[in-house]
Amino acid sequence: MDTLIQALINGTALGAQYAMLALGFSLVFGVLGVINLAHGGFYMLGGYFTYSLTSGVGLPFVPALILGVLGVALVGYLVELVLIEPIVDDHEGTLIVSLGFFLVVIAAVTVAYGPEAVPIEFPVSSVLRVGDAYLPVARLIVIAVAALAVLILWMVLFRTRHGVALRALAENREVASIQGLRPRVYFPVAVALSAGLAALAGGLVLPIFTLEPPVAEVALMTSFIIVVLGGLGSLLGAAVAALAVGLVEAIGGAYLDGSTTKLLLFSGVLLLLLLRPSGIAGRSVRDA
Amino acid sequence: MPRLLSSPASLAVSGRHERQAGRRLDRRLTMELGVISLLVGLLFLPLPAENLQLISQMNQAVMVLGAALAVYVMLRLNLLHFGVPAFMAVGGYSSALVAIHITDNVVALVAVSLVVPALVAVPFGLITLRLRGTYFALVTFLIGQVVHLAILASDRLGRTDGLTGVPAPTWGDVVMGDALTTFRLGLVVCILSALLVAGFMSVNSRRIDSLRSNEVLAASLGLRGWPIRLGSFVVSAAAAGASGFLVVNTLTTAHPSSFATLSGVNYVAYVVVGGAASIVGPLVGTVALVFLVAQFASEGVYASALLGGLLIFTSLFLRGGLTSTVRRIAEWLRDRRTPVPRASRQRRAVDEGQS
Amino acid sequence: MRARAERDVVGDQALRVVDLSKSFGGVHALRGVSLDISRGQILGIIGPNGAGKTSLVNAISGRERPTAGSVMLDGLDVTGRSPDYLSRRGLTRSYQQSNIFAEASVEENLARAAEFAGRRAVGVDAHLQATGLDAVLNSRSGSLPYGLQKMLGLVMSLSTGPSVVLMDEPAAGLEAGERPQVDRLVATCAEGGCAVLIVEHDMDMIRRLCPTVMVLDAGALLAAGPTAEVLARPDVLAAYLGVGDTESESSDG
Repeated sequence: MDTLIQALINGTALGAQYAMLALGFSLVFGVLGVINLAHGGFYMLGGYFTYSLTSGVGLPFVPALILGVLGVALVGYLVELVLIEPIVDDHEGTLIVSLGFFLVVIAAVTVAYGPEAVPIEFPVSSVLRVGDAYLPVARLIVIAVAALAVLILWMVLFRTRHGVALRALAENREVASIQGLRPRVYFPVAVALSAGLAALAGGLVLPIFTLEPPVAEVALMTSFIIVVLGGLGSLLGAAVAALAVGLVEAIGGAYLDGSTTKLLLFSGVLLLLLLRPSGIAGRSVRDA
Repeated sequence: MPRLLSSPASLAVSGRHERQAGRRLDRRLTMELGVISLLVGLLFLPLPAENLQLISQMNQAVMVLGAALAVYVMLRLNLLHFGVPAFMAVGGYSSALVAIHITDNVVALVAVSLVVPALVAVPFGLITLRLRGTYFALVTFLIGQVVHLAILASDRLGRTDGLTGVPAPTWGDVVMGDALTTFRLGLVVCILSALLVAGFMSVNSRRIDSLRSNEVLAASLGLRGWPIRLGSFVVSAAAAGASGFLVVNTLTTAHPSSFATLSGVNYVAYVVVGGAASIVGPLVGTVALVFLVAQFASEGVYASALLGGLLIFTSLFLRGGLTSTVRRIAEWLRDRRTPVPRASRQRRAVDEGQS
Repeated sequence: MRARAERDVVGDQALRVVDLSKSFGGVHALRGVSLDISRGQILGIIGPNGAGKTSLVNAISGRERPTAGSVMLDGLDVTGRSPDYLSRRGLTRSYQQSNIFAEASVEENLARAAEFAGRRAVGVDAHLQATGLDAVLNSRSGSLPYGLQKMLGLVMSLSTGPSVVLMDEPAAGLEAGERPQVDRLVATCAEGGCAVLIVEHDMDMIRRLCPTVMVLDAGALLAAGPTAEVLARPDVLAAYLGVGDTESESSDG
């Protein structure tokens, strides 16, 4: 029973982190129509920027995290302006360009920080005990911050004028443009937002686990599986799928082993695709 | 009611049509035959057997050319296929198992490495049939992951250690173990893959071009899209599998790290940078990038950076890759020397458009 | 009016649509639309923007799967079947925007149409002469003026030798001088035994070509019957919000 509770807590924390990751990825696809492979890189940069600001500059963790997130958001903004915008209507081209950036970023980080994990620690390492279950406070903080971030994102998208504009552009770019919404202004913002969310996830979580270059690829694959499961372009689907994947991974990890769980998860999603090509909540497409 | 072939005008129509189609087929067929002849020619080229470095580098390129062809087949349908390592692994591991437990006859091994991945590709192909565009690309990453995880989970396949000590292929009494023979075997396998790919694409060229150009229109005119997509996916898997066999053969080991998911990016890069207008593109891209990486980026991390930079540069400035860019420059130069009448510029635009 | 008594046999329905409905996400694009059309008949479909005319064409031609209702082609139930299946069975459609293989020549476009349908096309060169496409067979179709591209699309859909053709705003984007060419294509097609369904905003063309017409409004059937009568009805005019004749207004549908 305690194993289960433990797993549920871990799973929720994982799901929360995944939600931040996947929402940004889905947002960029929804608004720009672009599959941004650099997304895993933003996650990784969130961790490394925070690390540099804490150990290099000596800032306390929270300001370092905030600055790190802003820094990565700026990187995202520039990536959209310089790399994506020139070819934004070419779906294959933008995927390739974002892939190129992903590779370059990983290489840059490896050169700058080395291929091994860097020593960074989450400032809070206390543990709560509930019965026989151990609840690391760090994980609870992750859940709280992620929930807050998702709530703020939701409010921005659904309650502010600019958020509504973003969603209108996602829904139907032509009509939205005719009505005066300028994609050129909103696209970089969408990518910046998505990068910031990924960086927040990375900056929060990577110190808890390990911060090393391979995490970028893992984050990318995780984003893929979640958005495919939840439906490409559906924010709610991404959030629900993120939680589901987090729970499955944690519970599977508790009773089976990590890679078997992953194998079952990935196979399951592929099988689902056979029946529902657009995922659980994705837009149904006969000819995408 | 006038019939299509009765009037002089329509005779002219059909004649012109045949010439037009003939011209288009000629160019691509010429490219394909050219590439295959080149590979055959290399087979008979006397190479200094002592220059192991040169042979090893040439072998590097030959090893992965099949993987580039696998990407090329799908890219002709405008689909980016990042799951090629998965089918390389299937080909590599199945030929390794056969070599270890059943026979090391080279024909059997090559056949296994072509057929088994093709069969495995069918269920995956069915899953991807209804996926379009970049969504397809995303899912191919997942296919790569699934196969990779399955290999890691299998005791039979050696888990993280892989299968070591894979015996060299034999042809009668000849054991094909030395570097030069390995390279030549690689060339033969590449020729087979190229023939398979070129053959499939020639037979289906009009359908492939139509699906690529305007799938909705093709469907509303009556074209069944799924046989072409599934066929392309299966042919792609076969070419990838053969490449996987060459990798395992060169390393004498079937190891999961040779087929890492992210390595799929390399093969896509070869075709994107080389160009996907004809079979020359993957050849050019593979040779160029394998050479560049060997010369300037021997350390893994710099290779990644180089590849990434090239992908960015190509996407932004070299639309269509190296081969298309070279062709555009050549035509621009040709136009500058002699003014071109509008009609033949139109015809050329048609030819170019066919790629 | 053409005399086609031998074809107007009761029950000789080339296309029969029964109670076709299509909704998605709370939007009811089509609500229980029914129609019958026999060989050689030309039926017009009109209605204000958003009435569901294109949805109707999409739902019949397989581009979208209807939520309810059925489509029968020559007595065969083909509801929800894919566009390529329907095309091979003899039902094709043309598109409101020009839809061609832009990088291929005109000839190649036609060759593809002929090959994919798997049927021998007849009368194509008459169509080519009528539209002026025979003069530009070698040209890259994407470089042609818009009107010619539209005509090419129409000729391609007709060249598959269909028994039913759905034309989605064939005149949209055409100059006034080009529109009579559509008339000729439609006439030739119907004379050959084809059932033609024309969705249009150009009322003059509807009056010229269609003896009967159906009016859609908000996804449902508003009126149907002889064209002159229907076009004079006040509720039909009201549905168009006071925009009656559209000769001057629609240059792009």
